Amino acid sequence: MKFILEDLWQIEKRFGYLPRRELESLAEKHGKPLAEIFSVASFYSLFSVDNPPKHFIGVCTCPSCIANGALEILHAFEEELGVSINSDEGDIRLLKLQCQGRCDKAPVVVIDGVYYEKVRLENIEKLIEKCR
Amino acid sequence: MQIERHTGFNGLRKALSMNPDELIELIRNSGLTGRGGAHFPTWKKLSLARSSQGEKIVVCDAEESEPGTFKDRFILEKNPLIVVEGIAIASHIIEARQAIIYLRGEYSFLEEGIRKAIEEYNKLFGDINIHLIISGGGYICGEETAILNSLEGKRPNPRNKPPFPVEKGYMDKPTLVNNVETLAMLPLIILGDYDPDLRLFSISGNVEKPGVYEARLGITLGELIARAKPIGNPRAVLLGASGGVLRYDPNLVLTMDNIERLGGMLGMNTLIIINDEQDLLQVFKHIAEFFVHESCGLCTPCREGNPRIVDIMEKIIDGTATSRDISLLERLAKYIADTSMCGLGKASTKWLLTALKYFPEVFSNAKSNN
Ligand code: SF4
Ligand code: FES
Repeated sequence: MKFILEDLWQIEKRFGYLPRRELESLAEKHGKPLAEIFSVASFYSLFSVDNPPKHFIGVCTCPSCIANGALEILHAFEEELGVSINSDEGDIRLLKLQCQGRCDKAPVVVIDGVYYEKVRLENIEKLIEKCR
Repeated sequence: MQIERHTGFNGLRKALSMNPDELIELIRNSGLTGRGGAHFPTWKKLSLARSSQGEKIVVCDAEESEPGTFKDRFILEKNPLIVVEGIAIASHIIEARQAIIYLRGEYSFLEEGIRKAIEEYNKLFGDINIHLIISGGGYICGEETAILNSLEGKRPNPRNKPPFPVEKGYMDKPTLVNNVETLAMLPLIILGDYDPDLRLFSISGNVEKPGVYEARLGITLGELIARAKPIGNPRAVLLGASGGVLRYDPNLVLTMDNIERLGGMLGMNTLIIINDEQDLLQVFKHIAEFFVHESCGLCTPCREGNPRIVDIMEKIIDGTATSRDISLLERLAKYIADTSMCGLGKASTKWLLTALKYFPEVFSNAKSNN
């Protein structure tokens, strides 16, 4: 059994995103057009098909996290970093995330793939330092 | 908890000494239905897959992404062996030689534990090949036909049914897709250790002790939530994002029928408690955003309708919504539920239909603004 997902994970882990040339050779390996591989790869939320910013900060905004202060945390990040949500400018991209399955440890923040649980407003400064 | 029991592959040993038809009968008598939310009788799926012809596959659906739900994570953390044992039993029943665990990407920290459990199985038995595949992330990937597309290297859109996966699944082969918890129940049933009324509830939100709680169906909401120690005055209980929202009532008896009568769905036993200090409008708007984000985009009502709902929710928050907007909201909710292709779209407005019914005050500042 051959799974394209395994190849995609390998590339994502190696480069931190899915470079076009890698997708091209993947398309060749599986005998599929590049457009098809691209349409598959771009669907998933954990892969990025374009050169990503230096850092990703994601805040889960599903109900359990909101009930535990996620929106205040999101806005504190916006203010401290001076960036708006989903903006492509600068080194840091701030995102809203969907439920991460850690609702018992809400609110949840993900920075460059690392999970931070039960985050409090006082921790924001320290978390931002991870990106400097 | 029954799920933490160490069965030591004894359920599988016993199953291997029994005839598959006998096993199906045993599972039928247990009353087990799918714990992924759809509640399809497990014996029936097994029996359909068993009677299909050709090479067969078992898929364990571990793409748990319903907001507020983390019981599969809990099971895979506490007892991956019982899940692997369940997969082996299901494979024995339908005569499959290949099985795949499709794990949510956000749960990749569970990979090591699961691989160890597979190794253990391989040392002692090893007659089926169990693959572990990590998903690339997306709520729709937990839908049973979307998983199949994903595994085939296609875009994970759902497929039309029929044909059902038990007839034509992964690479057109008969495929049994079952949720983690469903499969984990099989060893218990075979060992006579299964209690049909026990459920795992994921409890979170405004409670001091969020977590997975085991309780009997028929318990009252108040009794169950007391164990998790509510903070402040509970106002609402969300049954995940797709199960709807109800007013918090401590006397509410938790059974599937009861919740359904109120317009909700107790699919995966998810309970998110929201107290009266929270801004429900923000909670609701973000549920709407969840569905916009997670719609796979294949069909129009779900793809185009949900963003309209977000727009109107934003207008309500800004104070610029009119009563026309509110009636449009209601029509959209019904239309999307009635005409979407898959379960995601159909359930994507349950929160809204129940919110309009039970929390009209949240939407009412719009009406005066006509
Ligand atoms: S209802 Fe939504 S998720 Fe389902 S197929 Fe249509 S667009 Fe995709
Ligand atoms: S709601 Fe944030 S992790 Fe589930």
